[in-house]
Amino acid sequence: MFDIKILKPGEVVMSGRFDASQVEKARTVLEQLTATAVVDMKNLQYVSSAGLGILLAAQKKLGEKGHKLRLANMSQHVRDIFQMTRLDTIFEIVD
Amino acid sequence: MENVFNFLHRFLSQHSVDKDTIGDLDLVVEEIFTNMVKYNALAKERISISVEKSRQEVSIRLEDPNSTPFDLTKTPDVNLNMPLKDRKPGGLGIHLVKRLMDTVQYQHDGGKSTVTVTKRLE
Repeated sequence: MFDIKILKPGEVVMSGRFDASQVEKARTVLEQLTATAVVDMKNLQYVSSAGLGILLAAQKKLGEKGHKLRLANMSQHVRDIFQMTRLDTIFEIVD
Repeated sequence: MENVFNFLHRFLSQHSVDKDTIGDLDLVVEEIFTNMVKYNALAKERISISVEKSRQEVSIRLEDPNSTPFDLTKTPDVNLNMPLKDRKPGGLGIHLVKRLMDTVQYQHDGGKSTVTVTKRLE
């Protein structure tokens, strides 16, 4: 089960398994962001390339206006995926 | 995807495969499966998945019985060093498959694509 919510402006929480079947759900939420936001990934267990693509698209869109996503509290497994794809150089990753 | 993951988790858990390896295999199966669907969206026959485990390794085979050839082992390496404005998500899935598995083999025979991956167990 995957879930994504905007808790308040600038604060997003993501949990569960972000696989290819969850792309539209995530896109709908991330497209609402208009300024820098922290994405709490504490309970995100899994992300595939489909999920990475959605996050990358959101980062690009926010970047055009000088904003960004900050990714927080990643599990080691999710962090490994960001490192293997060098997306850890594209996103600010915070603990 | 849920049925695929359930099948995989049931088999791997029953055979005492560790959680990190299951996570890697989940990801690899999703990437190959979605790639097969993406490049052969009109196919009427189902993609089949089979899993084998020995003491040394897990081997997973995905077969698409009526498919256009697409050899994922021969795709060029994706450039991971481009700045944000030039980065594209395409190719990341195949990159992850190659990084996470010890072997990746592709075969196209009689219209059927078969991808076989293996992961050594530590």
